[in-house]
Amino acid sequence: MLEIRDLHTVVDGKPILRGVDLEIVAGEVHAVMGPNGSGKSTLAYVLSGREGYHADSGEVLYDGQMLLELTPEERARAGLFLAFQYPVEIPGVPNATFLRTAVNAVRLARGEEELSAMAFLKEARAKLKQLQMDESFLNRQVNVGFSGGEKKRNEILQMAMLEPRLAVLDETDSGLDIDALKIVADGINRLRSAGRAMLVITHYQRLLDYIVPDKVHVLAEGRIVRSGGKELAVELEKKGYAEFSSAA
Amino acid sequence: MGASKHTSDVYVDRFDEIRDRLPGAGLPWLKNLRSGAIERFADCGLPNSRVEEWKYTNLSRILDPQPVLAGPSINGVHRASLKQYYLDPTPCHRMVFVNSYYRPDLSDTGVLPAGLTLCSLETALADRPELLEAHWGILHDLSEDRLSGKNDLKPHAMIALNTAFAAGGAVIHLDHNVSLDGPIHLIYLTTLEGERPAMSHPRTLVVAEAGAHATIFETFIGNGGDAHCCNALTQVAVGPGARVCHYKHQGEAPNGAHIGSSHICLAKNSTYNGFVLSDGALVSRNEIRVRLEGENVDCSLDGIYLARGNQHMDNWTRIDHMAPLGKSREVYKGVIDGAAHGSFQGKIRVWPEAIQSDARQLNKNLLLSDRAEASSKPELEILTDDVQCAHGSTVGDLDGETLFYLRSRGVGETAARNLLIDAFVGEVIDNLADVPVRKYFRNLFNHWLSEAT
Ligand SMILES: Nc1ncnc2c1ncn2[C@@H]1O[C@H](COP(=O)(O)OP(=O)(O)O)[C@@H](O)[C@H]1O
Ligand SMILES: [Mg+2]
Repeated sequence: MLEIRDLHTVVDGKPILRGVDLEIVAGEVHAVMGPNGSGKSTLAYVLSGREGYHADSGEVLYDGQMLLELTPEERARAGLFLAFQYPVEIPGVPNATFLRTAVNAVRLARGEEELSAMAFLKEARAKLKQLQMDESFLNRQVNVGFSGGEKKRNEILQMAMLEPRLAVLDETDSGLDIDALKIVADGINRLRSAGRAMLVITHYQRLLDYIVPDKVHVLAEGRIVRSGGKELAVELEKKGYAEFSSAA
Repeated sequence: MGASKHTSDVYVDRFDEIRDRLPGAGLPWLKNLRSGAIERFADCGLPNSRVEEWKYTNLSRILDPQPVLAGPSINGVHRASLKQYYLDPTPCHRMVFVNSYYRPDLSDTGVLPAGLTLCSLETALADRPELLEAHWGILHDLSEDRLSGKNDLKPHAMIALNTAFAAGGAVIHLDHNVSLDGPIHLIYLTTLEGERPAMSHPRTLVVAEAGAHATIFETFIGNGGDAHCCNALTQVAVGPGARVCHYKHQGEAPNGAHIGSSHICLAKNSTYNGFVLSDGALVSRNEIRVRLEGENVDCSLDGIYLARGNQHMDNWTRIDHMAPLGKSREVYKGVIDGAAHGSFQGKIRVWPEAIQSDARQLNKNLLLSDRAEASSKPELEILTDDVQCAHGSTVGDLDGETLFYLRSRGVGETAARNLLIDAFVGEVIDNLADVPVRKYFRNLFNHWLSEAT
């Protein structure tokens, strides 16, 4: 489903990704781990098309398409979803408006009909319930005044509504207490399916106790330096990332 | 002042030609008022940007060469072209004016309840001249006593010009405790005079006596792409305990000019809710002077200006807290695109006797292009201690990170921008109290957004 080949990215004149290779097939969950500053978020931004995060060389194939040639909205409509490490606050826009606009933009692009206000509400309520979120979330302005945990749950709510084919989750566990972590992990696990792939970016192994990955990759200094099974996460938790930094 | 002096001579000559043909020409007080006004105009000349009050707007760009003074004989205006401006659906009293002259054939005043006078300026000058004498006089009272006491603002040249030339407009009077079911909608259309762009001077007077309640909606439009100039003046007097909601849409044709000034006098315990939306004209100025003359007045003054292309929109407001316990709330928001310029000059003055006043003013601007420009000059002058006052102003652009967030959810770039622009100003519209008026402005705003390039 996703093939990243020799991806290089320079941000603000600094080389951040220096030849990333990664392949995920449908139905799999891969974890990308690595020390702070190793380029994990940069990888997520390049995949989703954020301005200022371009590939200087290399290519990314998504379902056989050249992903990097698409605009961010085209990627989203093609089924790519990024759960942000730092979700953005949008004053003046109610969460329901935001969600419905997004869902309908994606539906229209797929040739489906727009959801009516009623149908949308019904679906949103069901997803809110699964994530143990109060209905008042729909009326609140997007992420404004949300706690860190609420923002992360709101990301998963969006993912649940948009039903992406490829989800990139950037540090979705950070800022969550253990109860919230379980709820969010449940929400993510519920979306695991044969047709869907996930790239779970995390600094800690903790999340991977709940979302058990098929593969674990270590990103250090802009490259995937090691790949393995889920036991690699446990090993990293014990040893830390020291052996992968240039000082080691 | 050389160029504008020359220009002003043309207006003075024109006044001499028509003075005896103006409505109410036989009324001595009006004759004096008009002569005084044209003298004042000749003294000042056309306002230019060297005058602090007019620092953001240079009128010579539009008034030199001058448009011709509009006469009453305009045909070829049909109801079909006005329908898009109607309020819907509501019982309403609608008056239509073409080049400031009342057009009963295009109007639907409906059934007037007892205690409501709703008529043209010409009719009012014939039937109720004392009403006009009282209120027009206040505006032009230049006596030292008044200037040193309550009124430090002399009427400027464009106000004087309106007083000298005003030959049409609406006069609205509500008796004590009269309350209207539907809004009064005044549509002012300025169009060509013969082959040439016209200048019109519509004049509106609204008087709500004690305990009365009315919603007044003024729509200013131009016909087609004609260059024209509308120099409008509206006076509103709200009596003790009375309430007036006053809306205005400045939607002149894209090549036109609009100079509007509103003068609002508020008696004790009265409520005034004012709202102006500007999206028309090449050059426009919207000026509002509000005087909280009695105790315990509740006043809100909101505005939205939507500018694009080469439009220039100047908003000038002055709020005088002159008595204790007055409350004023002012929010002006501008969305500026292309190479347009939006400006806001707003002053609040709290007089020594206006203890326990509560005044807040906010001006926010959203720039949508690199060439768009906003100027903001909020000002507080507080002459007593026991008050609560706050003001603020911001100029910003659409946040790139927020746009990316929306796009990463599948929302297209234009839709994402529109959503954020709506989040910036839409709330002001959606909070308007009158449903038909809210719908009018909502449709207008959505249309404006859909025309974005
Ligand atoms: N917008 C930016 N401007 C400048 N430097 C950046 C920017 N984004 C990321 N970086 C730098 O790129 C490196 C990788 O950052 P990031 O991808 O956020 O790492 P991670 O998510 O693994 O912690 C860091 O050194 C960071 O300082
Ligand atoms: Mg990161």
